Amino acid sequence: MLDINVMQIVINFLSLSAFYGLFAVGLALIFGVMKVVNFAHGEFFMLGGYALWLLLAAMPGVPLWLVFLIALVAGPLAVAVLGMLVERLIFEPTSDNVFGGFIASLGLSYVLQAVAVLCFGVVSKSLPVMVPGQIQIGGGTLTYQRLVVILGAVAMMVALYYFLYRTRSGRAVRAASQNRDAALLQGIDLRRVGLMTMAIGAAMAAVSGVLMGSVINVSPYMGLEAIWKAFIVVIVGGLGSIPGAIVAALLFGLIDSIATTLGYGQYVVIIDTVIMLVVLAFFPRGLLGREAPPLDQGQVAADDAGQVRPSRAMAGVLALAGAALLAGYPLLASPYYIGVGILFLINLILVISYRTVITMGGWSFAHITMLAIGAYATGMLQSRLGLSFWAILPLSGLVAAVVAVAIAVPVMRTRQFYFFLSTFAAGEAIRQCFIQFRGVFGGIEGIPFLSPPEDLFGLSFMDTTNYFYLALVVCVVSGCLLYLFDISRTGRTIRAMSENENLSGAIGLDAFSLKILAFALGAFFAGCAGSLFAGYNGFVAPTDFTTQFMFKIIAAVVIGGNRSFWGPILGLLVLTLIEELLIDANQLIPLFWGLTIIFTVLFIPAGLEGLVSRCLARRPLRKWRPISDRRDRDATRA
Amino acid sequence: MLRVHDLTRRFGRLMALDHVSFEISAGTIHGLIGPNGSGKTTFFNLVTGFLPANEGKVFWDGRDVTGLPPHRISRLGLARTFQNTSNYARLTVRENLVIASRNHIESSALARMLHLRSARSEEARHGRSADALLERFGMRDLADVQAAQLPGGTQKILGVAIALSTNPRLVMLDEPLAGLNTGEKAQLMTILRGLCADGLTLLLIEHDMKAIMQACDRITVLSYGTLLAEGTPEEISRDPATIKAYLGTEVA
Repeated sequence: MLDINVMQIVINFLSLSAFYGLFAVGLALIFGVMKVVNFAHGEFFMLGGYALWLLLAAMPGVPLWLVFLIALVAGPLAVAVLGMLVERLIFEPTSDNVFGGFIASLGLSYVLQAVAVLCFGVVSKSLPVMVPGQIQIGGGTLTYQRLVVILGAVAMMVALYYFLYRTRSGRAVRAASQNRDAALLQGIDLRRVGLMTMAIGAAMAAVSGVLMGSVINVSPYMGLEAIWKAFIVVIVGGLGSIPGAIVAALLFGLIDSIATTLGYGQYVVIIDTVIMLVVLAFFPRGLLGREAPPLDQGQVAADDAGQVRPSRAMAGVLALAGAALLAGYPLLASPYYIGVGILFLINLILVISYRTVITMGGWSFAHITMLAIGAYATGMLQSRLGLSFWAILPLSGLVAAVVAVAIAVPVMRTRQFYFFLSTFAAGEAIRQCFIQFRGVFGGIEGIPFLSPPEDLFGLSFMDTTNYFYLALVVCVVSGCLLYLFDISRTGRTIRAMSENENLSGAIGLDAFSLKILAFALGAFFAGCAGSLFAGYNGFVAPTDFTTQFMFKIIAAVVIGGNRSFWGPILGLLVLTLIEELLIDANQLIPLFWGLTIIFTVLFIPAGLEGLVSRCLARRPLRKWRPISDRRDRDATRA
Repeated sequence: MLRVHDLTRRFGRLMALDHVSFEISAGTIHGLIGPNGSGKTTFFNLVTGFLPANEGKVFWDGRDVTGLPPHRISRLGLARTFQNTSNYARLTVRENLVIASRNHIESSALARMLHLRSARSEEARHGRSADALLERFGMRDLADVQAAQLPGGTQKILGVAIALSTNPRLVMLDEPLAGLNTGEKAQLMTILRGLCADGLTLLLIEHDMKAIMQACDRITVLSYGTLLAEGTPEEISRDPATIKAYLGTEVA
């Protein structure tokens, strides 16, 4: 009979749920009104923690509880101002393109992390206990710290309820969250509501940061860990639903407290993700998500970018020139830069295959996970079964594709943000599997001592120049296959399908299978890239497959533009240049990447490729003029 | 041809469709009318698999197709249009029709994924059939125009052409005349009658009573989710329950 301390489980349950709820409700509130997921929510939380740390440093000798109280007021206020700034500068300009706003907030998240690293250092700060002491309740221990978290969360919820349901401004927020257009027609100032919501949401994140600051350590990356949990909570609860977020926070508080108390704390990420996937398989919009919007709303969006495309000959010449440049590259470069070149080629396979994934309309956050799966498959097939690298290379891709299909089945029913967030969670869970199941995957050390590919045609791949050419060949072959897919009937059908899924069903297209096809195909090439990656490194370690790596791939696609095959390549080139120029100050890299991404979303939404092709394209010879006046059309659409 | 039996759908406590049963026979133009909110579009969504039915069955050619996903229904030869304009806005008119020719595809999946010659020539063939269809709709000149640039009425007609490209035997049209001007209405009705003469069966939701009465062989009337009446246009125009549903009861 296991000795289970039920009271302790209950206490942990309450304090965990309080934290999850406080943090996730802010996210849900912002989504509800602005219809955008604020990825930087975790960084608002982190800034709350640093506010407490700064005040402690600035006020030595002042009683801790007083500093704590001051921080509870000053921290959220400061962060709320930042939130309003973010709303004005990022979310408001991108309000007609919520996905752009989301990507920009992803960039902002990296900028804020980098700023925190620059100002406060990478090392996490451990804060003194703010409210010392504890009480015993029925055999369980409740520290006053945790009691404060619980009480703080309850107080915030009550205040939020009062605001939303008892005040005029709160009613405006609820109206805007139900129907923005109708709210606008009722004379509600959406800009003001947006500012207010961002201020409240950011302040709630900061409050949880201050409350949790002394419970967990304050570090620049604490937001990333917290946002993972918040995403799981809002997905399971239903995006934009505050009651849903609370219910899911309670659910996960309970699960996590049971798991932790029973000694399975390290598996929490995996357990939570499995639960999320199960919930999504049955409720693709979360437990309390809104009823699906009316079915036959085929959106008709006029094309802003127009049909300007560089001629195919031009693209071919450029591609050949690029390939020739890459082929000659090792003759000119030093061994260090050959290594950079190999990684660039591996990244190139990743961004090209990532674009194939997103043509189906969902931005996956698990592409690096597919790289990791390919790398691990390579490591295990080599160390366990002793297969030849040449057999392993395609097999790794196949393993990644199979895993992709397995995650895709529950995840693919979701759309837009749900898809992004659930792949984010699933990717993290798979990475945790690599770390936690030591016996199988070697834990945090990974799989060491892999041998390079066997000699082929008398070429040794110990030699980096030869390895570069191997990577180049794999890259060109993958690129050609994916390009063919892109221009093929299936590829074009997938792109069209993502534009209007209802119509696609009505004309006999199996959207679900088409999406899985694109997802698995992308995963296959990412898996092959993983094999190259493992072969080059000579080891596989879970620490290589970071969120920042994923961010780089997404950033490449956003900066380059995803409308054409060539955009992501251009974007990757820019990012790699930034990276190499800042090689001596590598904490600045995410800062510049983030700033570039925000700049792109705000000022060149079509990406660099859009800019370039507008310059290269010959003017179309005949331009069809619409019969009706343009203004007239806008009026009927609005 | 299409038979529904006790079809029922609830939205929460609202009874959108309450045990509706009727049949559509091949080669006819069948009208489905009723005041707003009477469950006509819900009926479409249930039959074409866009919404699951709470109760009841849908039979297509004697085969039970209840609960099949939309693409399976479409592949069986049952096409539908949407109430508002629905097309692939970024594609040209011809590309829209070619995409919708999916049910005609015979080339192998691999050929289509790798852009092989067989897939390319098949696509060219589909492009030519699309042009022939556009000819019929008098839209041949617009084949290379982006769908989003078309005026609203033309987009509506494009929706019908898309549905016809899927090789259907029954086309369900959800208010095809709404948003068209008088000339376009007459043109579309002529085309539809021509299609019917070629052996196509049509199910028409429409509020334009004049067009319905002129075109339909049979009419089914829905009101608040229940089947109110069914019969020929003459019978329906004399049916007291229908008149009551449309005009309300006279206050004595």
